[in-house]
Amino acid sequence: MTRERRILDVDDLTVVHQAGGRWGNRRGDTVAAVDGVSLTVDAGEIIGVVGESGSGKTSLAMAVAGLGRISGGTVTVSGVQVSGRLSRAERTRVQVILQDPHGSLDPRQTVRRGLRELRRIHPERTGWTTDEELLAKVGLNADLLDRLPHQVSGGQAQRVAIARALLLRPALLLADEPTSALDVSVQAQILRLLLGLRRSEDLAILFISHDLAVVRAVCDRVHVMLRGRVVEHGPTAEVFERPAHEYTRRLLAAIPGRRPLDPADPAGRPVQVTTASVPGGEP
Amino acid sequence: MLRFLAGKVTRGVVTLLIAVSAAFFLARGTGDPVREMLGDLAGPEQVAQLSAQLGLDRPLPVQYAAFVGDLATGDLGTSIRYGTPNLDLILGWLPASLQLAAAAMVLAVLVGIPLGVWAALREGRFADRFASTVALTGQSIPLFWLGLMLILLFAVTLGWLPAGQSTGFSSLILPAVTLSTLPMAQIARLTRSSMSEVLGEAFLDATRARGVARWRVVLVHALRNAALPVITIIGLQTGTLLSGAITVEFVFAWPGLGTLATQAVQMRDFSLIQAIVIFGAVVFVLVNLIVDLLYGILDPRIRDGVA
Amino acid sequence: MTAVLAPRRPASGRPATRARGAGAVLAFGVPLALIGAVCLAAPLLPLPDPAAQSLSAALRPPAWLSGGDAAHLLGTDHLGRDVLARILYGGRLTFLIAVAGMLAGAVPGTLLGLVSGFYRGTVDAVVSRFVEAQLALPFILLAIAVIAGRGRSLSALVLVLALFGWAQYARVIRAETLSLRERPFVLGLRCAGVPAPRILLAHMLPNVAGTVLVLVTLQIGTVILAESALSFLGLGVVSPQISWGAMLADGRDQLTHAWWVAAFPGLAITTVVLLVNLLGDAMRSWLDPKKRRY
Repeated sequence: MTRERRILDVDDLTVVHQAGGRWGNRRGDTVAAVDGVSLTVDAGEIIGVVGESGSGKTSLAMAVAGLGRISGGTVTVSGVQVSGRLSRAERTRVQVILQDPHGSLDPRQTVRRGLRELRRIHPERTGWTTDEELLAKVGLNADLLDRLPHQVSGGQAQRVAIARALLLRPALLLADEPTSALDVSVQAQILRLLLGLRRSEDLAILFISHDLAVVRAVCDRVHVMLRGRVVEHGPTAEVFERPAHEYTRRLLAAIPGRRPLDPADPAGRPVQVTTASVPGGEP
Repeated sequence: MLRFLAGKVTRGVVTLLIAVSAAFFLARGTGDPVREMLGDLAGPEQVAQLSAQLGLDRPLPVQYAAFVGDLATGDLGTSIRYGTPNLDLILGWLPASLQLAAAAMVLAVLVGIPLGVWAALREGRFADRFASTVALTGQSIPLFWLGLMLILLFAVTLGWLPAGQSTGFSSLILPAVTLSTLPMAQIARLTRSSMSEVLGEAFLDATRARGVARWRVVLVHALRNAALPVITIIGLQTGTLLSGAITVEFVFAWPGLGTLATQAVQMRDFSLIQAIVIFGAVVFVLVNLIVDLLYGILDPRIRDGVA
Repeated sequence: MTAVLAPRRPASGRPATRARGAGAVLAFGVPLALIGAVCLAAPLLPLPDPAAQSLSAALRPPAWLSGGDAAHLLGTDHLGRDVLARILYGGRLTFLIAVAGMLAGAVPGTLLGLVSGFYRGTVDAVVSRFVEAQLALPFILLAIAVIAGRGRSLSALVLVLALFGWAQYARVIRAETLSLRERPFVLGLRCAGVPAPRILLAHMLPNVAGTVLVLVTLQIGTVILAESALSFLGLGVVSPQISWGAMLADGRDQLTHAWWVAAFPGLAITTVVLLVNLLGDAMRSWLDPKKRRY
């Protein structure tokens, strides 16, 4: 890969959280949530991070998104180091998709008003598409624009969240358990959508999940985290077929017998994302 | 436990300092107390003299420093009208207030908790509706008006009870009943809601399954669990009780702090007013400190910062 | 202080519960609005002048009692002024003060609650100490302190009511904001570069609006009670202005021989405050069927 295609470069990242409260309670206990993690994501790649809750996945995600603490090491997005002082444009190069699809949208704001707000804040970056085109890109009908979050299904809400992220033309999409709260059938639709977008938009995606089956279905490479450290990483197929670390083996053994999304071609086949193939009507 | 205690005391002191400072600056910063005291007819030399006597002619920061310094040594100043130390006056009038407040609080707990338990046990039924109506009415009625109406009924019309002043036990009944309404209503509402929560919890079912009688379950397990929020309310009610006591004492001419305060207002005794305000804040903070400590003792999770 | 607050859950809004909630809101809201409208329209009604004194007509009992006069439905006070007319005219000022005092506390209280819950840290610590300090000052004593310095006036009264009310809003809205800011959509907004003040005003505020509405309603009742207590003690509204509290102060002196002078204004206060409290409770269960205590 050439230098220009390198989107995310996490180098020896450490995140230390202070235990206890703020006021008159400085016992100095610290917990290293992320302990010397390095990984890279290039354009058009989907890179997985798996681990159980408490493994430091979320602290890693927050640091990459520029919203969390960075205690040591560096996080570089498109050649710009992430730190407290970033311009708004630089900060928004990473967009997040979160676990709780309904919680990801302001319950009092229609889809259209939410998009209009983003357009008003970033006029220079959002002119490339219309609301209708944008929704079509994520497989949604334009009649959703005037609905409130509680008037759409979980899968639709997650599509709206993806649309909101896409609107800002991010270099990196940070997907933190994006399908864990969804029904299995809807999960597959969202994963297909992400795969399609990676192809059509040349997106770099950092995919964080505890669900190995899902990671196996979409990721090119995978990192296994345990107590803040990456204990194993490599191409997905390799890690899944020949796990080197004891912990990975245990994780794999715990997967219920579920087939990956498309075993013949886990990453390839262009997915048609149109309202016809995905009628936006999950249960 | 010691750290918990130290933290609570520090917070109490900070709260108190903010409260008395607010009282200090509100009284001075928003108007001219000397003018208020003397009225519009006073000449300039009178104003100057009283200002000097009260120390109000000095710059505000100097006044404030002196005020806090006096406070730290327990000096609440001297009454302008009585000419005696404010603290002595307050302590002299305090016992009657304490007597009234204690009687009201006992009454509120004795009526409020059973009412709340009763309503919780009969959730959604007549008893529940009745109790919540009583509680809501208690929260909606002006205390002093209730006092007036009780006087009208029991003193004026029926002649059963004395209408005012402290002349023995019978004269305590009407003011105590009046003052107890508000805390009683809140205690009843809170007991009801925390009891119905606790009653629904699994561990109580388990206890009952082991064959413990229902009334015992209610009495021992549930009440102890429901006690925490109720104790909090009692702490928070102290302020309301102090405020309510002023109007109730006024109605019944009860010789307590409330009457002293209304007299101080009528006589425009600025120094005494300020002292009573500060005293009230001290009492409130102290009571809440005790409540917090009780809370910590009753529920170790709070002390250890888990909850 | 230990706030007794249940964690906020998104309203599930089962249709049946909500419909019944809406019914209750109407059942208490309509009579309240009617009382307010009648007070507002008092000058248009065929009532005696509330300030007109007539010693020959002093202390007339209500019309249905012997000695009553059909022209004075609820009787007259010691100066021969019509009690009913004074209640309706006094209601105007009472409602005005209640709304002004409520707003003067609700606006700063809500903003402080939002800011301290959202930014946390030092701002929160400072605001929380002030909330506790406010609770530590017994309301009437606080009022006395202010009025001793400023003298009696409507503006002093509203100031006192604002000082009295703000802390309740700050406390509840802070707790609500604290849990709201942990919701994922806030993270998404921050990530999308939405400025913090905008998140606060355009996203947090609309989401706590329901709670503010309930608090505002409940607070109006509290403010009416507070105003009446102050006026009763002679610290609030003074003659010739009329409020229900001030009427009670007059009535106290006539209690032994003319109960109606004190009874009816008090009944008016109790009725209105009870309706307001019922309305507040109904709104709370309408907006959030899951029980929430504050």
